[in-house]
Amino acid sequence: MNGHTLLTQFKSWTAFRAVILLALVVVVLLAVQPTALGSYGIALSRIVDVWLVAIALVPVLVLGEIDLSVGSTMAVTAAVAAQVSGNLAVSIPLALITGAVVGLINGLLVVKVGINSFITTLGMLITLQGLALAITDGAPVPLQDSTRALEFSVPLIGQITPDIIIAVAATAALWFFMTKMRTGRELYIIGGNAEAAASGGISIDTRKILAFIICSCVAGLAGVVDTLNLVAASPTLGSTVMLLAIAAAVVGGASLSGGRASVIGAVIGAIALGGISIGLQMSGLDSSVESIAIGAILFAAIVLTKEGVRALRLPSLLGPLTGASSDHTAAAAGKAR
Amino acid sequence: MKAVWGVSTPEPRSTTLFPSLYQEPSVTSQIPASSPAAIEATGVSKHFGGVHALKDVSIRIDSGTCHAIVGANGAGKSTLMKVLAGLYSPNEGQVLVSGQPLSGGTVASKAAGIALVHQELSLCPDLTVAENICVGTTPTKHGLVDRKAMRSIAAALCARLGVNIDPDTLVGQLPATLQQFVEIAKALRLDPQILILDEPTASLTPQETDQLLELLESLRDQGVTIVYISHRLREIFELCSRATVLRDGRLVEHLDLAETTTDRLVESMVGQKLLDQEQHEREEKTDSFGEVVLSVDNLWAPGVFGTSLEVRAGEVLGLGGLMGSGRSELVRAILGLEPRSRGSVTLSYDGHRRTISSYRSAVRSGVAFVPEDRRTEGVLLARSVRENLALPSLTALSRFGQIRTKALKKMATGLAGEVNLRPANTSATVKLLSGGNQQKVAFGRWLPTNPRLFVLDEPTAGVDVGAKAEIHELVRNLTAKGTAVIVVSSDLEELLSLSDRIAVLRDGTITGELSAAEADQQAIVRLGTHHDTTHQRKEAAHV
Amino acid sequence: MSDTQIAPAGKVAPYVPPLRRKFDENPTAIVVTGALIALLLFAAVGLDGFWSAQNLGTLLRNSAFLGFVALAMTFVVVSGLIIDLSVVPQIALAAIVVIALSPHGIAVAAPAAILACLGFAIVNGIGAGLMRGNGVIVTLATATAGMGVLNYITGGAQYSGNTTLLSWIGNASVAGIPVVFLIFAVVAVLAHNLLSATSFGYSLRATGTNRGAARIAGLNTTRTLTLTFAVSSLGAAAAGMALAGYSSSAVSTMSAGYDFNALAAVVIGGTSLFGGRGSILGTVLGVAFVQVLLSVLSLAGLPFQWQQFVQGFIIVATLAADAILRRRGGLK
Repeated sequence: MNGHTLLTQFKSWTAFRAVILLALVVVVLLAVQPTALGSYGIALSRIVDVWLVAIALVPVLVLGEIDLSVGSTMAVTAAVAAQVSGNLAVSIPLALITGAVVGLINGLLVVKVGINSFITTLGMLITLQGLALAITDGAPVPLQDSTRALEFSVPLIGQITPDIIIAVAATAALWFFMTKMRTGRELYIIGGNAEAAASGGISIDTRKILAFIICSCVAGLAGVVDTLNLVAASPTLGSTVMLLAIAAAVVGGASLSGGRASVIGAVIGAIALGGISIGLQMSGLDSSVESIAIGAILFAAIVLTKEGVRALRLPSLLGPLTGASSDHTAAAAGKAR
Repeated sequence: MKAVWGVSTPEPRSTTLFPSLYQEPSVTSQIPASSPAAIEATGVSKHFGGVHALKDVSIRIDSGTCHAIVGANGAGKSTLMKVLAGLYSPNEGQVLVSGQPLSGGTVASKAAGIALVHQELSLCPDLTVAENICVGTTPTKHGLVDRKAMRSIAAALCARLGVNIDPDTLVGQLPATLQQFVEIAKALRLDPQILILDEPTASLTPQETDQLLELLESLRDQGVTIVYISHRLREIFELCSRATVLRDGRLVEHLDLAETTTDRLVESMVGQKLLDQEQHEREEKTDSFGEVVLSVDNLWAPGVFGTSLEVRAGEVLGLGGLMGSGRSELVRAILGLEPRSRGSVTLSYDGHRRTISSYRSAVRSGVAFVPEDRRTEGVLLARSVRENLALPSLTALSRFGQIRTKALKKMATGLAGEVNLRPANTSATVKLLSGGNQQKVAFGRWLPTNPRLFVLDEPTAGVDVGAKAEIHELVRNLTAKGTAVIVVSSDLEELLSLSDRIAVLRDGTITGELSAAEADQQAIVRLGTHHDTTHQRKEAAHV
Repeated sequence: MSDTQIAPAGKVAPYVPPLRRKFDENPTAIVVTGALIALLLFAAVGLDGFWSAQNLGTLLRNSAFLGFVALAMTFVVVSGLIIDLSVVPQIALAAIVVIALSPHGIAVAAPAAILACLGFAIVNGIGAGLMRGNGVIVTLATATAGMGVLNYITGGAQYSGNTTLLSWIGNASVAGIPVVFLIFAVVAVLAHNLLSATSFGYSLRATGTNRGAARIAGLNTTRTLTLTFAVSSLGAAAAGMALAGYSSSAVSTMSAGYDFNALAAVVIGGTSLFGGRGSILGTVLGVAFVQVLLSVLSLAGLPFQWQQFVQGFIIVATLAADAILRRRGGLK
């Protein structure tokens, strides 16, 4: 055997950091704010948007790209859902299509025009935010079909409200796609070693564009869900969500350089971060404390890579936190000269 | 003995003289000459830009045989292999597979039954063994990825290779040797008719190498054609029946390995230079070197296993060894660019001793480095010659933070003249220069810092003949000034003409040191290739 | 393997006339200048009120406020960090500090504001410089945490106060030109010098072109990037103090949007987001263009809400055009 103990296997599991964080959060909440755990339905419902956007980012992150425009995409789809038609059965699908179109634009700009995804999606973030502001005239737009929307907040099973069910369904679908379907696995290969993908005959361009479309579509779903929850479309939707979602995905094991990302990890990360957020809120602490905590966690999640930790020259202390899978990298062997 | 160009008729040797090398031709390898060869290249030439990698090479490999391609670094082995595999299209000539012309592209070569095992691993470290093996050939059931099938395919292939690897392990966690086996399994998955392997045993232990050779033999017996590129001559003689020798992109000869000795092969690889001619070309070496400038003691790093060496002022230490021997890893570890796990590196001059702990401290202490990869590390392509030349001297050129532009321009023009940069326009973007001139920029920029130790990694790779000679002259000037120099080079002539002493590396350790007097090309290659049965490769895990 | 030879040895690089060379280096800047002139002409002919002293004064003043941040952002972009999102809390922080401490006089309040902002630079430098984290996300994290700290301390309260000097700087005009704008002009000249003629500028451009190669050449890239963040902090501090001087008040939400607006100015001015090259003149042009455009659009009746969309659209269009033009030209 390869001498793998259960512990080593656990440590190499992509989502390992998220699970540790969640465990920590649950323990702290039990001690300090048990009511948060008691009303888990409300808690989950509050973080459904982060949850959805975090899993939306997974296909794009696995490719080694990023989509910074997810927050503004939410705002735009929310605006479309609220304004296009009084009939939710029409405006919701339209909103989702809008999300897909945004994803298509992102994908084309990155793949065909060749601008790197950080820069592209940053520009799109600005543009879409502006578009959302413009469409809504800068103020939240109430839904016309408010009765339907209010039904949305009624718990269906125990404390579980319809939005949580949607999030679970979307998670299941995305997880299925990323782990069981060939196209989903190909995304991992492209992100892991683009040359291997190319020589394996995988069409990189189409897969990348598809990933962006999926990402923006699910982000659009998040916008719709938020609108239904709030019974109004807010144009400033999404700015904090993007931050939390990136943090959740990275804590959940995603690597910005590609090849590594986990849907389950992103969900666990979102729940953990949501738990922190709600715990802080319920303790009566200002939302600013929440911002500090989230910012600090994102900072830690991003800088704790093998390279980063080595630069600090204290690797023994911080090594396990990097969550990296490879100790013996292929690079060491293959690049010998 | 004469070097023969084209298909050779080697002088027959008595089999009793070298009984261990005589191979009884097996029945399956006696293919009637009229059937099409498994793979055949005729008059193949390949060039990149203005540089020829292959010139008019013809080769014929029969089905069910094992054929080796040998040559020193830069001889064109990798290029030939990629042409045969269909990854490169030749500029001239063509490749025929079973009589049919091969069109370019991975799809066509797969269809033709060709599988290639790369030297640089093409694996995804964060995916499992099973997934890596099945890239591009993922089995599906009802449209979904069939994990069970992948696992059993992977397990079967690993069993065939004689290794025990759990298919669900992440490749990144496997040691390098097992990763190599996964790479081979990946190729076998395609059930190839022609299997091309590029240095497959670079990271394998002797036992693992034997395992692999056994497997390849059994594949050969089953009718698979094997093309084997390696500098490990023992393996070539054990496995292959014929060898094609390349030198400088040209075909030297084809040899029947049953009737060839190792020495004969080595001679063919390096060419017939008369020893006194080499001596004559080298300058009179002064034996009066200064004190020890660089002292490396028991250095351990990725790819470096307990190396020690010394260089004196005014001396040129050449580092030789074939591909995969770890020369670049060694110099980068010495300079502090790679993390060191053990050992010390000390610089001493003018009575001071300094330990080199980081690259920046090295540069500050008077070390200069011209890295192997010129375009991504050696120069800043998008910037001007002037800027590139100024970078190591920015502090010296500035006063209160302001750059003294006139001084900078003057220094740049002076340096351009000193290295004979052509064209001498220092405001030109480096990207537009030829390789040789780019290299002169990478070199020249260090001159104003008066380095005590100058490290050059492949200083004339991809450089035209004229610039090459000029760079050699520049190196000689350095030694005249008392600078200690380390030169890593795959070009044996260059190594011999520049070095006062040559250390030869193999698998991350120094196998031997040769003085200028006793060094010749064959000695270097011999030290770099022979497997010493007493030599055990030390794992980095030893640390 | 063999290296591709670009030009055979001995061939001289072809002579390119200076104006054409400027265009090749910075095609978008030329286009933007043209568009700017067109806008101004349109305003001269078609818009009442554009050329009024009040409107021009406001225009110039806003250009200065944004300009401080945009000049600093130029350095961030050239260094390869793409953007410093933490300028938003830094601007507000500087404004709040300088007003809160104004009773102690400007000699205390101003340095305190600057030091507070430099705290951000240190954290950013550690995250993106030392630990090689991604610049966008690191500054996103510090911006969030920083905003949180700011909100926690101030509770969202508005601070009022001022010092005579600061108030004068923020409000006075000399010969019809706002004092802040004159200061901005001076700072622009200094910034140009810093970028093009100092050793820091050379290091910066090298680091932004190729951090690895810059390191091999012996440059301390971590220090360069940390100094870049420091420049960004100085720009934010200047903007914050100027805004405080102008309105004699400060609140944590006052600086929203400055990060993207500054980036817009830099990009529109032709500086490449890939890093390594940049032009202060281009940024000044970009600031002018953005402000004039917004002024023209709002005077022409475009609802305020559409302004950001227009800005964003122009940025993306500029990026795409830049990428395409650059690929055609073979540069990168």
